[in-house]
Amino acid sequence: MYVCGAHVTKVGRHYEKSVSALAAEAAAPVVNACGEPDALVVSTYLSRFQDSFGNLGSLLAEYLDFKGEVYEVSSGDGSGGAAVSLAVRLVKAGFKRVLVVGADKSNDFQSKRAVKDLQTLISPYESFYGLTYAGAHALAARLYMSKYGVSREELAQWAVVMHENATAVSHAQLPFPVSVDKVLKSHSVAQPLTLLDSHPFSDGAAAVMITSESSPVSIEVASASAPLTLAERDLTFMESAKMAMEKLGNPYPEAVEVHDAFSIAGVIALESLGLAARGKGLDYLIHSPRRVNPSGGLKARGHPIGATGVYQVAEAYFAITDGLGKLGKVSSFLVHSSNLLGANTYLSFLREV
Amino acid sequence: MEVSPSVVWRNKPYRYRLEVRRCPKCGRAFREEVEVCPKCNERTERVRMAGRGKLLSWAKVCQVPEGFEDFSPLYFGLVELEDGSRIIARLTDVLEEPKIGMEMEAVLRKVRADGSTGLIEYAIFFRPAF
Ligand SMILES: [Zn+2]
Repeated sequence: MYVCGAHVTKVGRHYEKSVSALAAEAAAPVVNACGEPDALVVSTYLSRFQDSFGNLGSLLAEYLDFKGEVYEVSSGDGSGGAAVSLAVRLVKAGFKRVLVVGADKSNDFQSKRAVKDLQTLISPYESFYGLTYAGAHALAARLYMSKYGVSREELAQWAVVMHENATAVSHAQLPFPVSVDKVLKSHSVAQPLTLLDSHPFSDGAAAVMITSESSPVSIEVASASAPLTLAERDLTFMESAKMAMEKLGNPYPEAVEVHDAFSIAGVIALESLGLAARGKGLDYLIHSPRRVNPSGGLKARGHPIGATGVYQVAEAYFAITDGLGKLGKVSSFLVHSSNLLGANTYLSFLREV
Repeated sequence: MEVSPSVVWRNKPYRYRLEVRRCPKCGRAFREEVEVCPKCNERTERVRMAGRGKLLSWAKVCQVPEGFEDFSPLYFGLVELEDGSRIIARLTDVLEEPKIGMEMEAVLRKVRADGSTGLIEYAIFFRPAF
């Protein structure tokens, strides 16, 4: 299977555009470049709550004047990765071209509303008395830091590298550098995590076309799952990422985009994928800062929840065809998309043909 | 804040008493009314989780969701209970910074009240054991 084209909108606050307008903006150039698809696979998550609209796939098809098969795919904050995976499966099953569009909105209300909407990722018996997306990651962070003796200052390196990488990426939401000191002094979101350990609230849309026709970039996918209930797993490791990586044959990519909704999730992802030893994710980052999230990651490129996984695959495609930010051009790229810290993992491995 | 009477009612066993439905074959616990284990096809048994345990991790949530402004900050703990099961629960009576490894005990506390219906939600919280 191949990727024949990709397009992304700038990640940020698009007060002037709805989720469907953003989706159309991302999709049209890809259809123009690659041709009409046989199926359309759409992913969104927060927009259902923020825009009170749950039929994005259908409206996008109308805007594109597309009359073929339409599917909306959902897997929490890993919805984008799930949509790409399903599209690759559809092409494998016989379709010539499948268009994947991820689009989402987080900024149509005050941030405390987005915080509430993101609680819907967590099982109700863990979220009902106020556990947030950030709170879940904070529990993982404290556990990880105490288990491996990692300091608050060391963990702050994640944000420093991500912001540095984003400075060379035109579609990134936060393309400015930050210091360790600034990360530590930014206000507390869920202790031990601060604002600068956290993804920003993002709007955006991205599109990629998966095809069976030979193209300069190939794509393979693999996925796996673990319990959603946070209390039922080891919060310092994502078993589903390890399993999905084994299904891919444990490749060693030149660069990787991992799902770092919060700094700690990026560190744990590198270890779960087997790229770093357990407890050594930050060492890997420091040794290869340009090869880990050259887009700036969810942390600095931004995290339009249901669109994020599609952005990541588009960025991998850009890295192989034209070069991406400070990484430049590579010939292999791994994308890690994850639903709530690894309840589900969707991997895509892209290579130059 | 919307509170549904039927949701409050059906969640009482877990939220008020830490009652779960445990599969006698695979041992998995469901925190709601899953009457037959979907994996083993065995009838699940209602059992109560232990009310004491050890704190494995904790978080102080300062950026609280809409509807929780009056309760900020919220403390949460990951607790390993004496029966070996694990739970993520709100912490209460946090007078000083919690310590990993400290003994915790269950206590019933008010979560919030619905302004329009007057419905009050309660749930099991955990607090440092004395
Ligand atoms: Zn069972």
